[in-house]
This record gives sequence, C-alpha cells and structure tokens, in this order.
Amino acid sequence: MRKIFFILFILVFGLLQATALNYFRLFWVKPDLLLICAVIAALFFSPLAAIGFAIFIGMYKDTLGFYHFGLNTLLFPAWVFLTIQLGRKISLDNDFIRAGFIFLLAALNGVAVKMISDIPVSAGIFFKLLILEPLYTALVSFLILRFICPALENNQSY
Amino acid sequence: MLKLNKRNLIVVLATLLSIFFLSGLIPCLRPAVINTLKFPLTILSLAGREIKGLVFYHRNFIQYSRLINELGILQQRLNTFEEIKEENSRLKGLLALKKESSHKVIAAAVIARDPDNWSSIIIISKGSHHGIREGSVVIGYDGLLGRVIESASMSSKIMLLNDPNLSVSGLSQRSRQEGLICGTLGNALIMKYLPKDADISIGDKIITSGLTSAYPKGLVIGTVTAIEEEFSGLSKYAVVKPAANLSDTEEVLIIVQ
Repeated sequence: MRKIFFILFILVFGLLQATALNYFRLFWVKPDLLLICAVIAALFFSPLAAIGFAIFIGMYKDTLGFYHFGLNTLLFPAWVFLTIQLGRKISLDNDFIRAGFIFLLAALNGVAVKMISDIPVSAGIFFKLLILEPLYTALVSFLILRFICPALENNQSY
Repeated sequence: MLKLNKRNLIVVLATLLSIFFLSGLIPCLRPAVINTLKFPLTILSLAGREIKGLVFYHRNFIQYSRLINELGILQQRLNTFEEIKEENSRLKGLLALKKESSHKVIAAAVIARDPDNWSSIIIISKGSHHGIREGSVVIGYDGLLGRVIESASMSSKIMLLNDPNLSVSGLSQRSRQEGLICGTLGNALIMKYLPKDADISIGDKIITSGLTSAYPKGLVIGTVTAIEEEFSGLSKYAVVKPAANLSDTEEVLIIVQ
C-alpha cells in the first residue's frame, strides 16, 4: 500500500514539475521534486525497493526531458545508492540534515549532468544554476519532509 | 559497506546492465509516455495558468486596459498598412514580380516544460499527425521561439531559443551585421562572434539571417540590450532580449510549409 502511495506521489510530483512548477520559478530555476522523491525512497524504503524507485524516477524524468539517452536513469540509482551507504555511516534522521544532504546531492547531480551531457553554457550561468537549483530544491525538500513524509515514516514496514 | 562475494557481484552486474539497458530504451518509450500523460499534463497546465491568472489579477487587469488602448491605435495603423499592401501588390503586378508565398502555420498549446533546469524544452499538444516534422521552425506571436526536436503522433518537443544547444544565425536589421545567437538558459540571448568593429548598437532589432535553410529569413529574434567585449579582447558579443515570451509561452505557431 505504502509503495503504491509512493508511486502516485512520484507521478504527481513529475507532472507538477513539468507544468505548474514553471509558475514558481525563481531566476529561471525550479526545484527538482523528482530528486527529492529519490532521496525519500532511499530514506524510507528497503535498499532494493529504493533502487527500483530510483530507476523508475530516472526513467520518468528522462521521458519528459530531452537527453538522447537515459541520463537520469543512470544517475538517480547512483544517488540513491550513495544515500543508502551514507545513511549507514551517519544519521540522516533530522529534517535539517536531510535538506542539507539534498542540497549537496542536487549540486552533485548538476555537475554530473553538465559533465556528461556537455551543455555549452558559460561558467557564470553554470555556477548560477549550480547554487540556485540545490538551494531551491533543499528549501522545498524541507517542507516536503516536514509535511508529507511523516505519513511514510509512521507506516514503515521493514 | 557492500561485500563483493560472488552472489553480490552477480546482483550488482545484473542491476547495472538492466539500468544501462533501460536508459537505452528511453528514446523509444518517450513518445508513448508523453502521449499517455498528455491529458493530465494539459489539465495541470490549465490549472496552473488559472491560478496564475487569479494571483496576478490586478496586474492582468492593468495590462488588459493598456492593451485595449493599444489595440485601437494598432487597428488604425493596420488600416494604413492594408492600404500600402494593396498599393504594393498593384505595383508588383505592374513590375511582374513573382509573389512570395507566406508561411503555413499550425497553432498548438503548450502542455508541459522540461523538468530539468539544464535545458529549455516545451511539449506541445500537436505532433506528426498534424503535419509537424522534426526541424520545423516554431514562432510565437512576437517572434522566433525555437525548433521542433522530436515529433510523436500527438505531441512534439520544442527546443526554445534560450537553450544553449540551439544556435541561430541572426543579423541586425539596421546594419546587416551578422552573428550567432545562442541561449543562456535565462531571459537573455547572446549574439556571438561579432568583430571588434561591428556596427551594432543598443536597440538594434535582430532578425534571422536566412543563411541556412533551417530558418526563414526575417523572423524577429529580439532586441540588443547590451554590448560587451569578449574576454580575449578579439571580438565582442551582444546581449539580446528575445522578442517572444520564452518563460510563459502558452501557445505557439509551427511553420509547416
């Protein structure tokens, strides 16, 4: 039940990211809701389920995007794996720490996307996106973790 | 940490192979998924538009009043231009000049945007079924918007002018100075490769040069807002404000002929 609820959650977040979120852009930047979903999957589900969700989220994002191959399908499972491994070393049970971690992950994702897809942007634009996107994503993730995730946390089954 | 015994190694390799296989499948899956999601995307787009309309009601009302006044003035100017057009066609007929054909366009609604911040793509509600092909030029009511990069049966993806992967050859309408227009992922374009002594100034209107067959000549790209020197000091570049609204475009026109 929890997994079905989470899949619906991902589908709605993906649709919002492609539509309504455009009206809430700051300096042409919008938060990456699907990356937040991937981190939530790593935090609240078993490792195998989390990797499965990450592949699904990556594929979903890639179908709405334009990269010639599934760049996010490759990257998202890697970020989820990193989150799972890091979660075993340090405690990620505080919303502030989680938001901070999402900030770092979004920045890492930005660097990876820029390097792999070789987007021809100047250093200024690159750094603008590299700071603003993770910042906005981290701020939004804080709200999501605070208001939506308790529902997932209360029904942990593993 | 994950211990790499034989079983774990097989699981890891199988997972990696499946991920690579699935990532290769994305281009094939894309049209089907977008066609399936077309309805919820359209509904959410419309909902977002309505919410924006309500939130910015006062600004919209002021704009509406101003536009009504402008419409009256433009209607008068249009009448004058109609007269000039008639006169022009009469004179062309006299000179036996071949009549230039106008573009055939299809209107489509924007239903979604790229979820990523690293590109500027929109998804529209019409596709190859309506005659839209990959490479078709897309314009707004104010000027050039971009190009079709993918066309499914009932939807298409358009790369907007401000995407850094799209370049357009442009020229200044006043001085005929040519340059390459590139995107910046924001509300500005860069006109590159201008010689140091290029005749270009702030306020110049930039149009498509028609140097390649990709874009018809004379489509408005934008207006020069700043001119800067390149870091190397060998050339300069101009910052161009796009004529078309790239951030909130709700309807586009696709040139199909």
